[in-house]
Amino acid sequence: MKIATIATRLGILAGLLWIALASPVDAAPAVKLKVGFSPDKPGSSTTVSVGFTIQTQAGVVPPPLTEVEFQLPAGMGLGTTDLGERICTVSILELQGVFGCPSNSYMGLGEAIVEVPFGPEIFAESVSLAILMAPAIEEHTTVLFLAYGVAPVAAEIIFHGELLDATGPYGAVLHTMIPLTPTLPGAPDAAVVRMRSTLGPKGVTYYRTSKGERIPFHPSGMVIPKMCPPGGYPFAATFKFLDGSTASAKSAVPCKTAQLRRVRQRK
Amino acid sequence: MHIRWRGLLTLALLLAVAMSGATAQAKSEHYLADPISKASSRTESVHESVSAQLTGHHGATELAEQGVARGTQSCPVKINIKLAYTKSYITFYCGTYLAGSGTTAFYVSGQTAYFHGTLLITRGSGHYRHSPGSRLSIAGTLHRGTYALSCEVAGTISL
Repeated sequence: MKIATIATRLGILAGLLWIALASPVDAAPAVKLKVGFSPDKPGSSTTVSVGFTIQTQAGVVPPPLTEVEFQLPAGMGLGTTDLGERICTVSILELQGVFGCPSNSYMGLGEAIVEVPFGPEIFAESVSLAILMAPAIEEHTTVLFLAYGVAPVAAEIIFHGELLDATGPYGAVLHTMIPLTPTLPGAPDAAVVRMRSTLGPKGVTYYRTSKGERIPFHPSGMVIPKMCPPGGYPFAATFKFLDGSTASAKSAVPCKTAQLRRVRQRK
Repeated sequence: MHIRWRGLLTLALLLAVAMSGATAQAKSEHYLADPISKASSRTESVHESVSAQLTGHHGATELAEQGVARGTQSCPVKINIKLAYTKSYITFYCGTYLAGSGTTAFYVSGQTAYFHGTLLITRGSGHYRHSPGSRLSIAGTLHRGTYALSCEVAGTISL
């Protein structure tokens, strides 16, 4: 075979490979963010619900998610809640799993859908999420995320989220670095396509001991500020993917009509 | 004649120098005698250990606490603390003679919340009337179940 023919064939191969590798990058994912309060009553303890969907072209799995910055509205905080009144650690999770953590360390629950492309097929897996209070890292309030799935891939990943300063209408940013999740041999890492989670007492039961008796109770959640900013209580998120692409999304919990009336009257 | 004029001029100059020296000395003595000027150059080290309990709250993020400080002053203490995710805003009253405020870092770890930062003295009376503008460090904890607060306030303030 002539050298020129070999070079041409190699060139075509490289081109095909480039197209194959480049296509997921070109299809930059878009993210839809959905937030809510339950109950949604200003001045009351609430559970914050957060959901996002990573959208790509049909039949294309997004690149694995590596980092999320989730911005929370100002006027709220964890100081006066009893959410996460006890802590759980990475070593407890690794040695004993989520059941080794104290009940009173749960701060929220959730689920996610991850996808793994394997040949022409895409496998989807439902993953459970637990959010737990962790020891502070470098003087930042820290939560632990435990994501665990069973089939088709039995995997458990643990990662931290740290509460950092935020600017503008936001009170803090929950910064989370997400480790890669290896899947089947020869297949790429798992990619999150959808997630839904709570931060608050909904679905969480704590226990206190009184006179030797274990009494269940629901912890108090973050309190919704009585003053609702114009446009609602703002949330925002930035997503970073393994291929270097990023996506941002904003959402807000709308103000109640009565609140809006009050704000207008004050103006 | 020319020599006489030169002699008179020298005498006048010497007199002027002597008089200005006397004025400066008098000014200096006046400065030392003035209690305000004298006090502004003095400082005092302060170290208070504070423990306080919740007495009231405004909404879910502003707490009012009262307690005692033991240390240099051993005064009754009032603290207002406004909590955010990563910061707290503290107003601190030591008796009726010293008040300060400041923003501190704030974080939670289990049942304990931690804060540390700087208080700017905003008001002083009596012994502390020249203290406004001084800065003290504050570091402490807030129990998330009982809201009991304990902290250390320390530093050097102007008198």
